[in-house]
Amino acid sequence: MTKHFSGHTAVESVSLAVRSGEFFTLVGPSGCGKTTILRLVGGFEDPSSGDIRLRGRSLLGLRPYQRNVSTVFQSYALFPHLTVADNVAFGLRYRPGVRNPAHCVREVLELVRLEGKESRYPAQLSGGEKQRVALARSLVLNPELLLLDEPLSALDPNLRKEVRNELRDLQRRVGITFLFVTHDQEEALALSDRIAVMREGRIEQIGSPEEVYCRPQTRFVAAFLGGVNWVDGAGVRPEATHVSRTQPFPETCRHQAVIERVTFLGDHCRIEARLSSGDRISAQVSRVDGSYHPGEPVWVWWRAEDEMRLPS
Amino acid sequence: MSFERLCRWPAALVMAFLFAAPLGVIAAYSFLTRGAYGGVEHPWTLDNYARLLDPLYGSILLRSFWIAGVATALCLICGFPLAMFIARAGRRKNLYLALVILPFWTSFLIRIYAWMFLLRDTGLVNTILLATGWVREPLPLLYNDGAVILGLVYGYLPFMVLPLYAALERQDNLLLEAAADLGARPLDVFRRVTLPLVAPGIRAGTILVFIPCLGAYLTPDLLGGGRTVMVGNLIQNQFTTARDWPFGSAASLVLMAIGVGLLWSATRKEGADIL
Repeated sequence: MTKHFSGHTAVESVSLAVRSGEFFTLVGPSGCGKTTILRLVGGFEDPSSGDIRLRGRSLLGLRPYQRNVSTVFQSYALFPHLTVADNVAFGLRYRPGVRNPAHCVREVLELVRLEGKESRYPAQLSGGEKQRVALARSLVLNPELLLLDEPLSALDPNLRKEVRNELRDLQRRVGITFLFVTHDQEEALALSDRIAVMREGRIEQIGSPEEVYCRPQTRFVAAFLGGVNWVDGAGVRPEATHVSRTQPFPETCRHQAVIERVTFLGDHCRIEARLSSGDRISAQVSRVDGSYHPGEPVWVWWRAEDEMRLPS
Repeated sequence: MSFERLCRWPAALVMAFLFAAPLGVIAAYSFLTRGAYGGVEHPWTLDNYARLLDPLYGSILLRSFWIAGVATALCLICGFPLAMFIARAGRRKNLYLALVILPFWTSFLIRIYAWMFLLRDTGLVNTILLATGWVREPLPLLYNDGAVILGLVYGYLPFMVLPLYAALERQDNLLLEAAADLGARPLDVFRRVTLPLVAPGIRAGTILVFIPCLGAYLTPDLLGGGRTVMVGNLIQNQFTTARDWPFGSAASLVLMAIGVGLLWSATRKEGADIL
């Protein structure tokens, strides 16, 4: 599908298929069109061309309230005049066949561990609690597809990692297909079954986290998902780059280098060194591997299979 | 002495001379006896208030409530879509707001005369209707309750639109999207999300329109045709043709007490955020 806005094309000929029950993530820098895709699927925008299908049925022309998909918004969009329980129950009356709404609300609040907060108003909740209410409000409808627009970005960093694991467990438990949008590559790698890396309205690569991280198909994907040292047209990740004082085995890719900077980062050290060719490389080494000093001549090496050969 | 404390004196003076003193004079007059050529005389009396219990005045008060109520309801019905339109007008917002406020730059009196020019038997509307043959005789558009209500709606519509606009403008568009996303149709989104969130604006607009409508005298005087249409005219007459200042003062105070009572009962629930 394609989406044009006046002046620019937000999504250009994107084609992707999300599998049922999958945790699928769209990741890319801001402005790459990932949120637009979510809004197209949610029904808040109409595609300029192309089709969106849910279980084979086209969603084109259906208003948001006619689609069996639900969105968790970045800012949560909780109704400030309703309590937690009423927020969660909001959509239930539009679901035919819900016999006991109060029971459904209780169940889903238990699922997101918000028991006892039923009568609070959104203004009385912490960021993490608001996020869980937004999630519960959508989950209670048991949608065929749940759209999540950077739902963790409003949380503080410590909480974010905790909530990340909860979200992953929750998705496994309820078995609902998640289409998740984030600009945080670490979040994408940690959460997803599959990832689509986007750039300027197009998809650069789709694959499992291991595939896109270890076998990126473009330099953009390689660089977006993690650090890369570029040496003679090949890329190698800093954590796959080793430093030693003694000469490494000849079957490795090895270079002589001089250390320029050593940065202590707590659980590891980052060493920046300059190769004799002039290329700069960065290596992640364990803190216990002994201390290196700027100006020290060393060997840097990596296994040939860790090299990523990519067209530029 | 701090600047803030220094400011209290002028504030107290303004309050004393511009609010407390005139009110005190009116309150005192309302307990005095009518003078032969206007003004007031001794002795002190409660007669002015007793006379207000006359069913004649009760029916005028009821009429005023009815006319002000209809005018307020029409202001709400006309003002809501207008405020919604302006709140969603994007960059044109300020232009439309300026247009809503623009009539204030002309004297209210002149604008009411303009309505008379439009509505009278030989006015623009009737002239066109007669010329095009839609009617044989001029329609009685002026000098009736309908004309008074029209004039009140026209005059006080901005006071309804502005608080409604402020409430609608504050509303997060995302909430409307979220409601639709959860399955609510447009009418349900309006009923369950928009309406409860702009309720303070509706209350504020209703108060700002209803209370001045209740006491209006210029509009009913000019568009109502000289009859005592509303309580405002009744009060005005006491100070002019009837020359009964004490009775006019008593009626003003009662009207004011009703207004304050309404304001109090409306703000009690919501707290001070209304005005």
